[in-house]
Amino acid sequence: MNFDLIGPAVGSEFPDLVLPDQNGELVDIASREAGRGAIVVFYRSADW
Amino acid sequence: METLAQFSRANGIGFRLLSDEGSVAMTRLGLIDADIESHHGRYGIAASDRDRGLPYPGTFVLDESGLVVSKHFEESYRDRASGSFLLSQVGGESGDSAYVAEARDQGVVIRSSVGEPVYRPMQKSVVRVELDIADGFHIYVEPVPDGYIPLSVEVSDAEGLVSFPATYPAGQPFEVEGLAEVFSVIEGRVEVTVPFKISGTQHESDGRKREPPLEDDTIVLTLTVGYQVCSDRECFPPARRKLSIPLVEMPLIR
Repeated sequence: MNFDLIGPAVGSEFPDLVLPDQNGELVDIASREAGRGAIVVFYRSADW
Repeated sequence: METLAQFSRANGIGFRLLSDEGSVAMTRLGLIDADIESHHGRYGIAASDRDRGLPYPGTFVLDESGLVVSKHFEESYRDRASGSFLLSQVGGESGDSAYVAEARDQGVVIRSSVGEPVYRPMQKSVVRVELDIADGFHIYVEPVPDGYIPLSVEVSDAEGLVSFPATYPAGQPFEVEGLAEVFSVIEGRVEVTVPFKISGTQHESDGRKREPPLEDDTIVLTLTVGYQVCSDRECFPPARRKLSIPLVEMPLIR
């Protein structure tokens, strides 16, 4: 399995995506406006 | 969102948790595992409806302008990078890492530390070994001429432990008058990092708690540091020091 092919490639721009957080506040994942980078972790679920 | 809020409180999570209702964002990013039946099957687990629309577990590191700097993906949901491991990958500070083992002799102080004195089954973590070499002394690193001892860090073979290749500091060229060989040496304060993961002893392969639980839920990470300290004129005998870091097993968060 070549995981390099999954999702945006290294060196490419992360898409603009806005999702609600646990308090209902909308978050721009790449946080370009804040200009401080981000670590984005994908988990399966918080509800098993 | 209430689920996320509860999960966040229950696990003491200090970062934001985002909800991707209907997997819309993950689908757009191309992260959905479309072949979950065979991927689960390899671990002897049957996929159910709730497993569909799930992403490959993984991590993207983005810079200030939103470019992808690096990414880390694993096929199994259990193989995760810990916070300290991710920070080590982006060159960040390890935070309040507790120094849990120390050895000093022959002009060098060796400290080893982990981000947290715990492990979660299959979570990829990192152990750091810091060497503080006294002024006027150095330690050889690869490549070395025959008969010389380069710096090495090995993690012992504890039950269920997998260690990955260590990252050593780059050496500086060093010549000794009268000798043809050019050595590679390190001086001052340097750091070696060794990623590792432990499959865990308190949990079965499917993540369920082992019944009955084992009495001892601690695993001892034993590091063997091999090196030779020299000055411009003489060398100490080659040394091997062992440092132990006890880690307590925490539950797997799926």
